[in-house]
Amino acid sequence: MPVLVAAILVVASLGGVASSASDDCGPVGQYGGTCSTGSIAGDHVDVGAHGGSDGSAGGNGSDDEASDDTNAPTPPAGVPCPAGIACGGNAVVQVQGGVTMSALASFYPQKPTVSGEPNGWAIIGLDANFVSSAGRHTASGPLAGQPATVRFTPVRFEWDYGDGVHASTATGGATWRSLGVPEFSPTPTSHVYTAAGSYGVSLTVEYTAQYRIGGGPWRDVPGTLTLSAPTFTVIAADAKTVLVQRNCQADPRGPGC
Amino acid sequence: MPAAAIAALLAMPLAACSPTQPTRSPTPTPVHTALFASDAEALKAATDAYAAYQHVTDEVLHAGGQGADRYEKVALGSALEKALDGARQFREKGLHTTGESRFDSVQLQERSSKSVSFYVCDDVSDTDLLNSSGQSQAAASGTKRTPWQVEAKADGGSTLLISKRDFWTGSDFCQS
Repeated sequence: MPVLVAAILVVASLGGVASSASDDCGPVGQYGGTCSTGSIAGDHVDVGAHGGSDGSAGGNGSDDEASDDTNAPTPPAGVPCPAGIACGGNAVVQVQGGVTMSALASFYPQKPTVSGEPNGWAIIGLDANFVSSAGRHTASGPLAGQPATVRFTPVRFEWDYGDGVHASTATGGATWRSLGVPEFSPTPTSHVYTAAGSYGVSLTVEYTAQYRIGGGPWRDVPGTLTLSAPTFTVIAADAKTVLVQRNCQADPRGPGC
Repeated sequence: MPAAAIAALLAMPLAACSPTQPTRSPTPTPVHTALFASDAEALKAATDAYAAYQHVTDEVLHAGGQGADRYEKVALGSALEKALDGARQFREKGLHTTGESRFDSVQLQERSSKSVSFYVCDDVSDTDLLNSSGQSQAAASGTKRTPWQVEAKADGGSTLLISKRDFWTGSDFCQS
């Protein structure tokens, strides 16, 4: 079983990032060369590892428990992970001398989406509720013969409601039904449009990330990464309450319609 | 109702009516004189303290974790605990190292009247990790340079002892 050790990754900005230190690299790992690192690279997380020789005796310094990787998928080397899909198969593997290899795997968070209720429209003066799909999730894949997992946690939602109003929320929101409130009730992510028109609702979600290799401990990746959801279009219009005799859809010429 | 409670209740609306924008106070002048007069002095002392710590680490790990009480002269707090735990692991696994450890790229993070925090890259390229049979246990292509975040505290005089030493698990600033 190859042994995981650290890889060459992006140079960190030292200032202002002070939450990534931990003690999961003891002297056995340090002198055995098995301490690993992770970093945010744009819209994804890179986790790096080198596989050590498996010719030495056991207990060669890895602080992580080796896991059974026979079920780990083996992606084609060099195939890019499609944006918007959680995957961990973007590994570039180099075999060196048959017994060692190094790998760098990229792990992409799921692309967030926005939905609205009422779906695609809003009544002027009443709350329209917006909900993001973004939640905590993981992306996994093999890395130098070991399963690696990155956990993404949304921590901030930046809303642009398209009418010049912005909001920052800690939650992605929930439907009126799941909140147990009547339709058109205010929610942490709802918005009231004051003029008729078509509006594009934009959302960016800020994630923190952690990674782990095999059964090892979760390790913080410094910094955050931000992903944008596709723009959600909502049409705001007036609504009038009128008394009609019959269903206006069935009889558009009926009294009141 | 106690007078204090009434006073608190009376104070609440007053507080609510007070200006929400706090008055900006002048930026306090840093006081560093208690420990070091300059960043350079702090960095020099931190570097010396880390060199002493690493020297003891080599001594203890060369001896397979024996004589770990030597760490008490160069470390305290969580750094001491972790060093002692590391030495215990070496004894239990029958491991020892050879060669000399080095470090470089010491970068000051923060200094206060009580401590100095800094980043450092350890370099164990010239060392090996061996088991009791003398077989190398080091990964063939393992990373020998590792990033650390370290804090050193004064021991009562001008000498610093390593008080925290944590592996930096984020982007590896030692591999650029």
